[in-house]
Amino acid sequence: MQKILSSRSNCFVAMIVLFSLSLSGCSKSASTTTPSFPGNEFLTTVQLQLTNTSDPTDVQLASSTQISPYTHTYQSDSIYNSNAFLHLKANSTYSGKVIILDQTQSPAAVISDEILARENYHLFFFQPSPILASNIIISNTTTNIPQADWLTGQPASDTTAFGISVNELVAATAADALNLTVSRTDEDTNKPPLQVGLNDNFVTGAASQGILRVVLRHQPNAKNGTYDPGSTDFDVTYAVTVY
Amino acid sequence: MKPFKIMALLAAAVIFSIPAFAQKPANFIGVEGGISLPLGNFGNWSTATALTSIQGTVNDPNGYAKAGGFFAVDGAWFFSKNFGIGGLFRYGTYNFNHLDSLSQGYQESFDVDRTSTTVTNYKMWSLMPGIYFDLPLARKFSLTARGLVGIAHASTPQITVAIEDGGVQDPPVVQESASKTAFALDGGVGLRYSILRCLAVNLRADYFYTKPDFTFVNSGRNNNAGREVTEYDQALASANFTLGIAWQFGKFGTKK
Repeated sequence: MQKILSSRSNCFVAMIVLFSLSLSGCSKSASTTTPSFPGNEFLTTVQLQLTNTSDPTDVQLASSTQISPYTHTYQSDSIYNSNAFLHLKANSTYSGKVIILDQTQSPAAVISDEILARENYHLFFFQPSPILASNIIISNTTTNIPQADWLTGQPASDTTAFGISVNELVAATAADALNLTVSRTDEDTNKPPLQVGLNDNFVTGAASQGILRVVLRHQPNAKNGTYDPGSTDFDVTYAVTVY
Repeated sequence: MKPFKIMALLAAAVIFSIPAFAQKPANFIGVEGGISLPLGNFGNWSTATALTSIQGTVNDPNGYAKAGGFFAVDGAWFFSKNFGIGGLFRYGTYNFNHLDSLSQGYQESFDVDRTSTTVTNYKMWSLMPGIYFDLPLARKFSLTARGLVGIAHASTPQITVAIEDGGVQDPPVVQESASKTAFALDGGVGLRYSILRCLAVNLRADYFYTKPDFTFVNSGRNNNAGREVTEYDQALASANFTLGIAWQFGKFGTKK
């Protein structure tokens, strides 16, 4: 009888050991990091192509580029603004289009087509300056850049076409303001849809002058119509004259 | 289809074995552990290219389950020379396979500098009563089989994708873990060797099937791009290979 009990105890011990061993095989969480692959395109050139809706022959093409007009090569630390200006008729509406090129390739690659494909997490901002404080409207459908993100402390040497400073200003009076309003006319396929800004309306008022800063924000899984989320793909400034 | 084949094999074994031996097998309680190989879409994975979607999201029928481990407790009481009734409780986990592919799919979909993806694992328990079969082939050696039906409770991994671009951490994409209890079945055959009068070693292979219809909560999804699975109505099937030890008790067959 004692031998049988001892034998059964051994059986139990063996079972407990096996049970414990199987419990110890529990698995864990895992993680991995995937860096981007080399070979991404350059955004060398940003053009604004504006067509007067009342006069289709009035077409403006402003261009800001990192391609040297002298060596015709990409200069990572330079920007060439000699063509970065818009001459717009007063009290007019222009249909605008942003064209982004990679001119390191031949023929130049049209990056704005890729931005269009990736519109669900890209958003353009257009900040006229000087601007009346009352006209700065920050919402998920306006193109203004929050004042906290304005360029205000740039050195005097940081200019756009005609040597105009890129620093943004609040206009003291209506007479000081650049009379230009930009609104986006395209939407992405997010649910609900959000604006994109590859296609826009540029509406001018009375004759004036100033600058227009254009920023493309890359907002992966963060786009909500506002400026803050994400990072900046490009940030260029054009001189503007309304006449 | 596969479970029905296994059931047919079990039935055939029963029919041919009934007249062969006249001893009633020992009742038993056993513990066992083993490896579980996911079958079908449960163990499949998608390539990064298939998971890349820059405008709109992409569904994914695959489960990414890697071979997992499990432990189980089972037992049976034999009411006839070959048949008994019993039950099985099994708990197992499956790690996530091809995480790189998943992570790269998000990285390309959002066109970002870096994605860091973290996953937990599948967890599954099942409780299944059923019919046990024992066919002695020699004095200490038996062919065994079982057909079980019951419930399984499975929970899926939580997938968290951290997104970084331009030195900025963007909101992470999170597919929350989901849990569901569903009907399950298990069928298999094995061999039992009695190393002592009260102790036997079991080696068996089983097919396991359950099909919970998971509904996922995808939190932190702000934009329509990349992989997004809202519902997963796929079978969680596996081939399970088990090594176990059983304590035999009750009325033993008469020695010859």
